[in-house]
Amino acid sequence: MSSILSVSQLNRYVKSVIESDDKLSDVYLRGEISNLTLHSSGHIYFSLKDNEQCMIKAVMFAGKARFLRFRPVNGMKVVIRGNVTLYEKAGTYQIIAEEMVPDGAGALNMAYEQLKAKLEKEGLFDSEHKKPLPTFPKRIGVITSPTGAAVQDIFRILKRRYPIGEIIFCPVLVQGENAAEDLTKAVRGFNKSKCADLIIIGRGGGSIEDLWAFNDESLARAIYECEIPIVSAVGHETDFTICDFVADVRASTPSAGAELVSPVTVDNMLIQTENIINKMTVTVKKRLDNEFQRYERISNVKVLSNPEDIINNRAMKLDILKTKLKSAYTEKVSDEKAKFAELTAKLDTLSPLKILSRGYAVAKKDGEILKSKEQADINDNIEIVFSDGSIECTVTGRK
Amino acid sequence: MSYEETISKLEETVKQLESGKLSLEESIEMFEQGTKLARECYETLKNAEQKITLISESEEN
Repeated sequence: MSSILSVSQLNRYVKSVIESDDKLSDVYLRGEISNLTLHSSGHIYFSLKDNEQCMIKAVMFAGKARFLRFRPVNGMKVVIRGNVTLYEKAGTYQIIAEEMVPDGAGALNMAYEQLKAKLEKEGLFDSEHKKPLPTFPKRIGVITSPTGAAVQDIFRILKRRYPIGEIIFCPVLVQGENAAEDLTKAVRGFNKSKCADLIIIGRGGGSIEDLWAFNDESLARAIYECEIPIVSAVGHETDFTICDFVADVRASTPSAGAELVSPVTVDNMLIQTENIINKMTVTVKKRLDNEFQRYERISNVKVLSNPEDIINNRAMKLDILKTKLKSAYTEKVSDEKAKFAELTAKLDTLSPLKILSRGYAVAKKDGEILKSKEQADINDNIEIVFSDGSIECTVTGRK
Repeated sequence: MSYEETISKLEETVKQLESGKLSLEESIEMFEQGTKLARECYETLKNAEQKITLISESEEN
């Protein structure tokens, strides 16, 4: 008989056997959560059971539990990855979960609703936080798979509508284990480098599992924190993801997203440019017409159209003046003449000759007219002046 | 100058022209400038060829 073991020794041995078996490490295990205890330490204790009512104890330590993207509840179907071990104190074997993801549509929906409610409560979906999209983005960030139809759709539409924008393409995984992390890093990368004016993040349609990465909490927070406006364009019209709610704008499809970020197409811009040119031409033409009319109004005034008129006018005026002057002069002269005639006539009547011609004579002595008999003595020579001449006489007596 | 800058400069030019505050000489000068800007816009739009730059998220981090 072999040696007797203590319980501890046995348990320790079984534990080592279990732990050294490769098949029992990194096990993927599907089951439904029951007996769930969310311990205040952060550790999660639960059991996983299956349809056959078989059960295994499970634990997820706080260090891993804090990375969970959902809150586990009893009855939730999950897939865990973990290592099988033995809890020596209880002698029970259990699985230590490293990762846990919801399994199946029902569970995913539940996780989705949980996260949505949580983020909504935190205000990540608030409309006040939404940023407007720039009308003329110079650089359009695109975060999607390099292989899907989505990237083709986005590139095709932007090429047609908005070739003047530069596309900054960040290819990522959009489904599978690393997709959420890829997407999150891409958003953070853009936010850090600011190498785009807006971002389209998305992928084509698929099942809820395919779109699951877009329901990731870290991604939601990265989008919320991103200072560049983000358009979420995930799946089809009917698909809603957390990414859609937290993004600044939701587009129903990647194609719709590409249209949203190019609201003004190159065709619009050409029309706009033409309109501006027309407007400008009309304005300037109107101005020129106005100026021309103004010029015409002014130039139609006679002075400018017939400058010789000015001279003619002046000449005419001069002529009138001349005539006036002449007539005035003539008048003056004839006035004077008349006056003169009158005066001479008057003079004539008063002229001594006239008197003499009537038979009178003037006596002069030494040139002096004799007005009295006393002025002449006897024997004085005096001159008697007649109208036709004079005679010399000697005074012979006085009476 | 980007398309957006050019077009807004063009719009400003038209606005000034429409204000009627410019002298005829200034108007004509503005018109010439506007025509040049419009041609630039037109050329940019007609000759635009999309540039696609590939980045990876690891580069960004």
